[in-house]
Amino acid sequence: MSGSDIRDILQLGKTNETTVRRFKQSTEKRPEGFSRELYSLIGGAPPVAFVQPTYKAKYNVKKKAVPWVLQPFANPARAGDLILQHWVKASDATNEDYGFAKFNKVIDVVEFTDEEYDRYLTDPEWTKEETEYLFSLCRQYDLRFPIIEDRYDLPKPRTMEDLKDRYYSVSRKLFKERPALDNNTDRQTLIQQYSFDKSKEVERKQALIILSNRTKEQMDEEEALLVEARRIELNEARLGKEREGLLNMLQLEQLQQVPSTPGTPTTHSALNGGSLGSTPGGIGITGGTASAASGSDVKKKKKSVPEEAHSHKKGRRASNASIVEEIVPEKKEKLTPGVYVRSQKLPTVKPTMQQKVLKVMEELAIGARPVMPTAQVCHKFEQLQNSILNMFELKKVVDKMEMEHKMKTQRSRDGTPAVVNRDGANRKRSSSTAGQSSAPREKRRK
Amino acid sequence: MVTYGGDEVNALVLDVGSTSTRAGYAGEDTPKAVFPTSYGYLEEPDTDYVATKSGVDGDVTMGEQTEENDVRVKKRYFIGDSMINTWRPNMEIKNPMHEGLGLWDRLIKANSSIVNDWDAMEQIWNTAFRTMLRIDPTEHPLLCTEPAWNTPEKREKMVELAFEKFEFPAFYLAKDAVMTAFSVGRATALVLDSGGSMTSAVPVYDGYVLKKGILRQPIGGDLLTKQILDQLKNDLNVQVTPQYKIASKRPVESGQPPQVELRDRPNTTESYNDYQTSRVILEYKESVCQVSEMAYDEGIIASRPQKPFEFPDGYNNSFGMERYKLPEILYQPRDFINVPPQAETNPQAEIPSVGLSKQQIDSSLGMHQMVMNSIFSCDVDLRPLLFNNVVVTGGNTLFPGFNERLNYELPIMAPSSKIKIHAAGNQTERKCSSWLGGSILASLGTFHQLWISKKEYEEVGPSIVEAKCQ
Repeated sequence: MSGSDIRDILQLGKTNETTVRRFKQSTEKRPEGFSRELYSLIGGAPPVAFVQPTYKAKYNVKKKAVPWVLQPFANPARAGDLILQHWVKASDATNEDYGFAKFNKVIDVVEFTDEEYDRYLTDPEWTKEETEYLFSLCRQYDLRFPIIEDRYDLPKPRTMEDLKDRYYSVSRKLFKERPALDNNTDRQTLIQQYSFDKSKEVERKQALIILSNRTKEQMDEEEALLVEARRIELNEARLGKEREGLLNMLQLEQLQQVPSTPGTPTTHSALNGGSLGSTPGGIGITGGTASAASGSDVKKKKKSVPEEAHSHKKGRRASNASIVEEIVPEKKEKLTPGVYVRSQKLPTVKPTMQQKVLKVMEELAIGARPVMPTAQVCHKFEQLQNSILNMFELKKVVDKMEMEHKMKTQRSRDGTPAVVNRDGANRKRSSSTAGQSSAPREKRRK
Repeated sequence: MVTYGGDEVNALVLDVGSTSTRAGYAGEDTPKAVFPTSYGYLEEPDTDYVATKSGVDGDVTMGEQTEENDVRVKKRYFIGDSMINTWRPNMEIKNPMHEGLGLWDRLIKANSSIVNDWDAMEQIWNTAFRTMLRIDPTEHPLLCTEPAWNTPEKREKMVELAFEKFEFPAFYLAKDAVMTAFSVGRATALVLDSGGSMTSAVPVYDGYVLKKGILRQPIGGDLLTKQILDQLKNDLNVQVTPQYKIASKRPVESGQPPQVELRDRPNTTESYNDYQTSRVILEYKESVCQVSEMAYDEGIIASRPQKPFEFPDGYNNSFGMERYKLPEILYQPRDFINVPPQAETNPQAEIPSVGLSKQQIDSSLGMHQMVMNSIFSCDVDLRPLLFNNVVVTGGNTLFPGFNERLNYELPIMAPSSKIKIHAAGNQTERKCSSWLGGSILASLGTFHQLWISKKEYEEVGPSIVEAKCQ
């Protein structure tokens, strides 16, 4: 609001405007230390940003200045008497020893006299001058052997292992020969500290050189192997369990087919071994056909079948085969205590299959139980029973195959595209079940 | 009291390189005085003492000239940036590291970057201490740096200079590679120092140089400058006119010949002209040139953007392929140094446009190869340590893309090692890294037992430097 406005409001008369204006101008000049025009431009309000700070840094006169002194000092770690100067607070300016002198650590390199050298330390490959030169270098460079080797400047060239060997062997000999001031145990540890096997060192360095010269392909191979190993480790638990299941299944087979005599399983195990080794899917099938009765094993079989399809499980299968072959000869009769009747020990058949088995036996004119249950008779009886069960299994599978085959041929005749893989697998499967052939299988995927 | 490792005793650190000299106080993080090592040199018949004191052409020479009242000739040295770049008739530009000959005329022998002209060296020291730092030498211990391959004779000469001519109370001579390693906080490193006159790869183990692993070759910034001149003259038909010759110029279109009026500068020496030309090219090199981060491939390089540059005479142009092609000399010297065909006849002779002989060029290695060879000449136990601590320093390494290229090339040659490259980010630090290390060293409390005192020097003689300064 300007002066004239105020006067209008207050209805004062026109006063001497010039003096009022001058007064107003002088008052307006006061604030903020910047120009009047700017002040009026922004409407007379003090802008926050332009306010000059009224804080002035003042010297802290209460705190007294700490005097510093240029103090000369001598360094006891030095040989000569160089006096250097440094600034120290007057309060700290004591005449104590130079604090940094304590950092002058010296490594004690063993020293020997001439007689000691002549007595113990002569070596066909090292002259006395060379040895003394070596030791002086060791002292100068604090046993940093890479540098000692670098600065070793005698005409006869020496490798780092040579130098180390000489140093350590001299030190060891001296420790051994000198009368020990401490007891024997300390001397032992000292001598052990100075042990140095030159050939091992040379070998180690060679190995390191080979390691450092690996090419990129070798490195990638190593990486892949490491990843593989880690994966196997992680899955070890699961794989172990599957292996157990597989073994159990095979053992059950052996038990069912060859209960007592260790002799006969050889053919079956050979068959098994052969099929195990070569037909990846073979185990599943033989396992499947052999123990169709055990329903619980089916699931395990189903799981193990796709697993078996992987090539890198061959190792395990080979081991399984060997385990099976090992186990089978070692199988003994389960000896129950007390007296028992052999016919009681005949394996029973599942009730579902029992009727069928009995029917077949009738056709063959054999009774439900053998008349004279001697060892051989019982053995044969068991074999017969197992074969009948096998036959039923096979029949089931064959029927299934034939059905599928029929369907497929019908479908192909109708013009729908048939899946070649499955056909091929079918054909191979039927051939394998028919004659247990060892044809290599394709990888089957569920 | 002993809370950290530092204990400053007002020591001075002097680091004389072939391109620039650095001098300052120990304990500080940059040298107070940085000036070119090249100096102006003028010999005049000493006619009248009073008359010559005022200078030949009005220069203020008080305090900067040394007058030897030799009856026949008076030598005047002009040291310092402003002194050397002022035009004076008959003034030669020399460099004490290059046998006292002119910059372009030097024969690169195995002693490059070692002092050959001790008078000039004395002048440089004098200027550094009295003119630029303004100190009294008798009050300060001096730490000086030297190249790792310095000979015992030169070392002794330096001690003599310090104690007898300047009378420092204490002195120490440190290897510049070790100082560089200290400046990045490491006691073990492989120091790749690419400077003006040469490139060197020096392995440092625990504060000591492994002499058997030192590799050096005379390929550095100066060679690149020469090659640029060659390239501009032959490929692009550009005559580089240095600043002092130009009286006036007019702006021209890109690629057009310059329209410039030259000044009349009679009796300009060739070395001065060469020096000034090289300054122009230095600016060109620093603004425009770049190193390809991957293996050099013409197609990729051709697609990179071009950079414009204007020369002092007004000629301006955009440069594309040339600016990558040139620094490729550092990584593939044999393929990229432009060798004129007549050099094939005599492989020993120095090629003027390059400064090296054909034989030397053929035995040159790329930067990455130098690092590899140097590391592989060391004990196999040390190699992983050295690979993990590659320190890159020197003004010539400031090309954009230099470190990336090194980081790309080294793992290809040594796939089984973990490689880590350290390079100071700051421009000043890269150029003064050895000075910086010296500053750190001379301000440590535990270092002060290692100084050579004047008294020890007087007792034992110059050979004390061999014993104490390893």
